[in-house]
Amino acid sequence: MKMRNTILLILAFMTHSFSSMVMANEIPESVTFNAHIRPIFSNTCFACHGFDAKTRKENLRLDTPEGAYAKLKNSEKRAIVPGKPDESAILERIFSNDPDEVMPPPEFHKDLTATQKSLVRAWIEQGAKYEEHWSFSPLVKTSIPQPSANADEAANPIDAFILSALEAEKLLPSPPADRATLLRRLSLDLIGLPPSIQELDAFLNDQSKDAYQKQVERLLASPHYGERMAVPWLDIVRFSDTVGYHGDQNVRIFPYRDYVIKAFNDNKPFDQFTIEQLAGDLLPDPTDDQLVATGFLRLNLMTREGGAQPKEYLAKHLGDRVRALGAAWMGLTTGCAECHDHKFDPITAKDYYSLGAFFADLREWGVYASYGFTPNPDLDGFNNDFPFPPEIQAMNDATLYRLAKLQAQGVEHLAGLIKPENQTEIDEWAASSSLYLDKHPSGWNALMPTAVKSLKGTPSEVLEDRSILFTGPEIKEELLTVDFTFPAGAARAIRMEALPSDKNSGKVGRQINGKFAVKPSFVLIGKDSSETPLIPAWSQADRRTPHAYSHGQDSPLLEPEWRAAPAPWEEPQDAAAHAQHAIYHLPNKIIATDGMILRVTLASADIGRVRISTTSFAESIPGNPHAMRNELQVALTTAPAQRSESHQKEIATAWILANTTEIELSESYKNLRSQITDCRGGFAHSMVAQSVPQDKIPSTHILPRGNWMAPAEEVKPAVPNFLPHASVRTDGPRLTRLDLAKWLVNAENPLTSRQFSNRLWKQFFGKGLSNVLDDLGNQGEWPSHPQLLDWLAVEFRESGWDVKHMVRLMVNSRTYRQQSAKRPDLAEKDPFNRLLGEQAPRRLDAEIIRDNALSIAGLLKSDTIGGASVKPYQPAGYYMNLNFPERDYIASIGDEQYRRGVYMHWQRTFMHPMLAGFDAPSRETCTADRFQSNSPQQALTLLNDPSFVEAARGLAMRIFREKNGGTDFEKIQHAMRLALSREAKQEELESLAKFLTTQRAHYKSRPEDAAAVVVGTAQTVSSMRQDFSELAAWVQLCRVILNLHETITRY
Amino acid sequence: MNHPFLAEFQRRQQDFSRRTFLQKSFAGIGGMALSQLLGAGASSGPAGLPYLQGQGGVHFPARAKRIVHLCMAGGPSHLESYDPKPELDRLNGQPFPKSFTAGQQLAQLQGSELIARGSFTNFKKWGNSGIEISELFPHIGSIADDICLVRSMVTEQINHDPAHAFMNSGSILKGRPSMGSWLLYGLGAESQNLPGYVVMVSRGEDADQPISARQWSAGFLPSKFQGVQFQSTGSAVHYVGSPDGVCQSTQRQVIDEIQHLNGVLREERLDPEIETRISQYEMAFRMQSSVPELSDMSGEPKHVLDMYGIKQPGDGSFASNCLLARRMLERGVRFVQLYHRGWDHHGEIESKMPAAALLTDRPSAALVKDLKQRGLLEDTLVIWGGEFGRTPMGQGSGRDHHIKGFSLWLAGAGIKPGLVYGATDEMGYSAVQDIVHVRDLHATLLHQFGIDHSRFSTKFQGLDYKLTGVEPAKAIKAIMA
Repeated sequence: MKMRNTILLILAFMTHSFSSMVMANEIPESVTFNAHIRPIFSNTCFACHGFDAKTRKENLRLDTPEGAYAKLKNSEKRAIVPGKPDESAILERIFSNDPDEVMPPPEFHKDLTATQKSLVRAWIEQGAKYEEHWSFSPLVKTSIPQPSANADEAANPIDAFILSALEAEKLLPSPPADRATLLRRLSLDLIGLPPSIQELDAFLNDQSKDAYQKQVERLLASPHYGERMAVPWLDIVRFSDTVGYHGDQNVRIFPYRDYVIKAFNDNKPFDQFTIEQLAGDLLPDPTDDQLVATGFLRLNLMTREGGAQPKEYLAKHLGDRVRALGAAWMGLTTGCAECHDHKFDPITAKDYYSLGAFFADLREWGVYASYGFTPNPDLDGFNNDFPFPPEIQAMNDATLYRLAKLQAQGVEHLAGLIKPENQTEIDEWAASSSLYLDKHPSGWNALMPTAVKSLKGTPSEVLEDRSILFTGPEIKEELLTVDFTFPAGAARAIRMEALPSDKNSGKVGRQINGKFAVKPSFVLIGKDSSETPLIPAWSQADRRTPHAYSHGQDSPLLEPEWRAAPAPWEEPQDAAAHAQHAIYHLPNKIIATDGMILRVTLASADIGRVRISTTSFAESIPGNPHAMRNELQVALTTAPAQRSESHQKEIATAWILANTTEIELSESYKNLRSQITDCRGGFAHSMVAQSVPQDKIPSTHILPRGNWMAPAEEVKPAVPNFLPHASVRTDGPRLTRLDLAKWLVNAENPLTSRQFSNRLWKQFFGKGLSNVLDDLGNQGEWPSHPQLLDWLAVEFRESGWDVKHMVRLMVNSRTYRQQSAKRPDLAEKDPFNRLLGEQAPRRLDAEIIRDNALSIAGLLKSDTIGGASVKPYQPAGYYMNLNFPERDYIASIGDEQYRRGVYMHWQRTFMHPMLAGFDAPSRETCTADRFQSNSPQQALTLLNDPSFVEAARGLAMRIFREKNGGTDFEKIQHAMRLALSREAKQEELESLAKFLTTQRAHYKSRPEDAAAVVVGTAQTVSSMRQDFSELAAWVQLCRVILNLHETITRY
Repeated sequence: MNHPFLAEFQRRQQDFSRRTFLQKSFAGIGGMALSQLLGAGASSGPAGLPYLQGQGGVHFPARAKRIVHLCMAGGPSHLESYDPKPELDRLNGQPFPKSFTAGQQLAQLQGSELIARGSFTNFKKWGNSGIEISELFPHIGSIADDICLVRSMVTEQINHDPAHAFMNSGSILKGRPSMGSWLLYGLGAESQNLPGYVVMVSRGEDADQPISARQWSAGFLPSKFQGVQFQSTGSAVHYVGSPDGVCQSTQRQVIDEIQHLNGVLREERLDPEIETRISQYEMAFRMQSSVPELSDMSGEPKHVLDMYGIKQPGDGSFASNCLLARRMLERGVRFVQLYHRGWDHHGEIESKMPAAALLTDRPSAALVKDLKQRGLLEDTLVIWGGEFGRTPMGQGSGRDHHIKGFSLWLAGAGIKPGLVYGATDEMGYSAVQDIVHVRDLHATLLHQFGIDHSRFSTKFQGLDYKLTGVEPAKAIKAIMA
């Protein structure tokens, strides 16, 4: 043992002296503080001789010239005397061999290398000039260098910087990648999907000079661009579907994700993007989108754990947000200052809490429930199934799109039921419906009240618009009865509108907050006074306060008692000042006869003004003022002779629906309809920021050592003092989140643009120019091309924060277009490819591995952009250890199963194993950079995860669909082109063909296995005519292709 | 100012250690994407080599090679298990002395009147060492001479979720590596066929406090160091079973073909990830047979099943998991963590705690005995304990969370057997003698693996992070044999 140690020691010594010998020769002529000295000092000195006054030793600070040049404590000496190494005390200490003297102290385990020591000496010799840290210094546009070699290759300024640096190192750039590789790279980078074969062929055959640029523009214009660009942003803001602490309950937040996707697609300027997320609610007359954007402020972890201390969790929320601000915009590890002044950057604990104070106005709770030991009257009655207010209810484009799509599917579904013999009846129905629409353009017929009665004397009045106005104070156990003349014709649904009235303070109800609760019942009274109760088959309201929730979501159906919106803390807070609608769908059509009366009884203490309408159409959606979808309306209002085939279809299927009773309706249509009702008329909820009134904003205090039980000095909102902040107002009321957001995107701010440009660069070149993506501070990395980074950052700002402009610049550069992983000389000279003498290959991100496989297989459903989270297959029982409430995971059905990875349900405490395996972050913290590990779990996932097995089956079926009758080679070639966007090599073709032969023989002899492969357990049951053994063999071949390293790598 | 962008010396300064292994990773040892090595994120030393080997090896001779952590999730009461308090029993039902609780953090007892609650169990002296352990744990009592009982544990977190995080990672901030991940990162795995860090979770009749997968997360370390949870239903490891209709030989042929084509790619791309990918597919294939072999307990004799109290091997019970843990440890799994959810006794402690003890006492003791019989206890560290203890004050029919003093025991791997270390005050409220902080436990654990906690760090967000963080921490030498 002893001997071995000695040998090790000798080896260590040899290595050490060897390295110092080699390196000492290479001390550059000009040693500068930022490039050379700061990294050394920051790592080894600043912890004790830096910014944090509390831990500063011997009152010596080396982070400023004043500190370093000053006289030492109890000594005449100075740490650093510029130009005079022999008089500089720090050199004595760092070169000392005495363990008691040497700096840094041995117990620090941060010994300086000989090179580092020599550098410090050289720097002092050269005058010990301090420089401001690069990322904190003002952002000034750098001049574009003029490379002499290969200058003609520069496609844009980016290349000028890159080529100059390569030239300085006497390295050549690489030739451009071949077109196929290039398009696959570009497509995966910009939209996260591989090119289709048509797109590929079009590019390969495009002889025009700007063929590549055209592809760039095509992809930038694709709606999938936003889906791709959203992924890193969702990482950095820690977007997820659950709260993260303890019960890890679901939150409603997907509209925020849609907002991010749309912002990138619309190329929303990044300054606007910043302002809306941090302060959308503080803008004048904010739009719903701007409110949804503030969901960013709600992505912190939250708890509902009994026994949790609200104050402790509020302190956690503050820290969570300050860290997010640091990660997403500032590129600073602000979180370090929670307990003490930052050791390495000039951020004080006061800065940290002052940043936190910007968020003190947010309406939030430390514990999202009310417990005996921590009472919280605001959230009385909240249980583990409740959502996390404040939320907004707003129209969501993706949900509207889904609704329309499902309705169209409904039409297709019902179209199969049309029989030729129905045509006459349909025509008659169409004719009468057209007439009806002439009279009632919305499809709703407001009924005329003929009598109003009240059990307890609520005053009422019938208004001209046929509404009935109830006024006066709330009266408990009131029963209001209104009779209406039932109009001639048929009725299939009853609509109740709750309308605001001046007589009720402009609100829909008569509760103090303007809300109401009403339980209606409907009775049909014949001429003979016979009473027939009308029991709705199902009902839905556009706005309401639900009675109950399950896993954070309310039922899309209306309860027997309709309670008005807004729910507690819900936006729009003035919902009670606007009309609200409920639709009661009848189980069958009611044909009115003369003298029939509809009697509506409203059990309500506080309803305001109501109007009752009926319609003969069976597909009305609350929130839509029309009783039928637009396509049907158009069809019916088109003259019969002019009606197209699709018009006919609309009419015929509407007729079927109107004339089929609930009982007769097929289960499959009812399934579809339940998906339609799930769309809630296009409305969705999303967590948002909401300010408490000025005088209710809690004070923010510095918490020494982060201890929430010992608040110290009070602080007001303020931006860090060490950063330029002349633009921030110094008078008026306390600073707001809007002030903060505007400062972040003000020209004086040196960090925001650098941070975003650097992260964007990483997306296309594999690494940041400064490659510690979440830390541009002292402990971060000196950029490989500092002037390029600054040039990009200024360009970004000056372009009006135009993200697409920056992406375009990057991907149009020749640097981007180089071939990758082909240069042995670079592997030696620039092993980490920091000089970018070639492109860097990169494994696809987790979500994109999924997208890629589904896309190759032809299974991907990518037409919907945005929408609620989806649940791909997941191993059973994976959520077994979740509780409060207990969780089941039910995989999505239909198209929803095949949506892109960006839409996957993100359970912070139990991420989908596929996401976790491929290094997607849990999004409990802000993540600027993903790891790229390479593990056996990844192999198991691609081999055996049902989603990937299904993709292999899908690909096999696709090959047969698209190359039916082709030879094996042709089919293999097709599969390879789909997966890799290139032709298979002869060797690959032959190898795969041989593999196929073996599999064929195997599955011929094992028909039951073949059937198991082909039928599978997943949703895409094969309908292929090929015999099972043939298809099963191809499925194995497709599994091989989908598992290839190249398939999951972008070269 | 014109900086020589990447002057050679600076590159060496940053990359020297990384550069030296680069050739190696081209030769096929690379275990991590190249980009990770460059990122100043969590670079583990030379690619493929565990961090400490890359740094020249462990700091002192290791006593432990593997570890099993029996995590009693929910926080078992120390007052009914390992820490008898006659004075507390005497004050049963009377107001709890204010001198103990003034200004202290409470969980669900916030704002309530505090009443002393005596232990409902009797304690008994066990073995030659005479360690006092409650009657609820007779089997653990029977191994009293093999364990070191620490009665002076303290933690900083009073709610389950952060307390588990603290116990696992030494931090309540998310994204920090758990101790299992740290060990894998530092020491690597011994098994080539099984994951190096395995987690299993069992529960009693009630669905108790949730356990988050974050507890075995690799945090900012690469995901290959994260714990792999063995499932109690379906495949033990996610996706370890071949798809329907694919027999083992077909799966092998599929993998062979993947390997062959990846080999073709390797010929034309200078991408070390290809080589790693090839080796990971081999490992995956081995796992496909080694995991079922591991989980198949049909060969275990009846007396062994009886010793653990297993009714049905593989039924997901704590007993079954303990036996499975032994099989893993035998096969070279570095860190096995068994959670048993069932100790959060705010109410009905007198019926629920005996029920939890019944499910865990026998198997815990059996595991220690079994390891000892097989000569594995010598270099296997066993830790038994919760994320915190419970209040000596009553809370209705139970006890609230308590962080000022609780008990935990260790066994094996150079830990002194038959020892009681530390003590709480006469009420069982605060640890007062030889206090062991969670960080000290971490330092001790690392020490047994030959690691100096103060020299075991990784760079993240510009800082050198350690499992024991920046606050003081010490390995407890007094409990080391």
